[in-house]
Amino acid sequence: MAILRLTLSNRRNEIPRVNFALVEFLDEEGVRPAAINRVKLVIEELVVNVIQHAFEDEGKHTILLDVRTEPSGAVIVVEDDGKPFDPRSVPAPVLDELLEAGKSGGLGVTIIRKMTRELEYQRIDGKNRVRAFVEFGAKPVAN
Amino acid sequence: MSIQLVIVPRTDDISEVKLIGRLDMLAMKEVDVRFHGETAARERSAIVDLSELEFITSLGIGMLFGCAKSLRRRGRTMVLLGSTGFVDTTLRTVGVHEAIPFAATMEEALRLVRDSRS
Repeated sequence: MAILRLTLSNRRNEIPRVNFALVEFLDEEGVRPAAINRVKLVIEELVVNVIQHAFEDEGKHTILLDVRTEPSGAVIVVEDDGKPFDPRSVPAPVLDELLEAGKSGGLGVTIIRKMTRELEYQRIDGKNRVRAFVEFGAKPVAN
Repeated sequence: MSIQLVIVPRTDDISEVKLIGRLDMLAMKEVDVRFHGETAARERSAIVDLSELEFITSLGIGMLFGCAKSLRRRGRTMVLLGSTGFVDTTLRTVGVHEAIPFAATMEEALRLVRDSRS
């Protein structure tokens, strides 16, 4: 078991640093490329969601990211001090309606839900804390 | 550069573009406007070749939706061609195949474009 801990600012240009560190970390842990992609996708959706939607001001905020490997998967924890948001509370989008609107609203959360075996949310001391478990060998949840 | 957009010349009235690489948050900045210009902005149906796309996020799927919607409103269609591996899994996990037609081969893609006109 190993842990990767990153402190990020709420800026888009943090994403390459996260991806680089994550791939290096999971590769050293012997995780297969397909599983690395799954973990990477879930983390990018979680972090991008925070960067794009969590903050109502333009100021600098800190996002904490922890990734812990276990024999069967990765435990991901993302913490931010943005407005409360429980990703489990978003209804699944209706694809045809999204297509009609030409939007992607809710798709990120759908990806997070379907690519994770566990998804938990807590609001603690004014912070959002999302914990997700991505199984290395799992297939995504069917529609 | 994490993403390349290749325009494939055609002699018929269909646009064909190929996305190569990783369509993530940063890649969107590089490719979004040009992709719209080469697909949605044209008075033609579009075939989008995803066979060399390695990674896609919800923002990339949103780009596909945006262009597919523009084409649909003008009686045109978008077909996604040749998605494989992780990209195919991601698209089907979200259910994109229920909203935008998928084709495994160019022949199938051309048939889907033709069928959409009838």
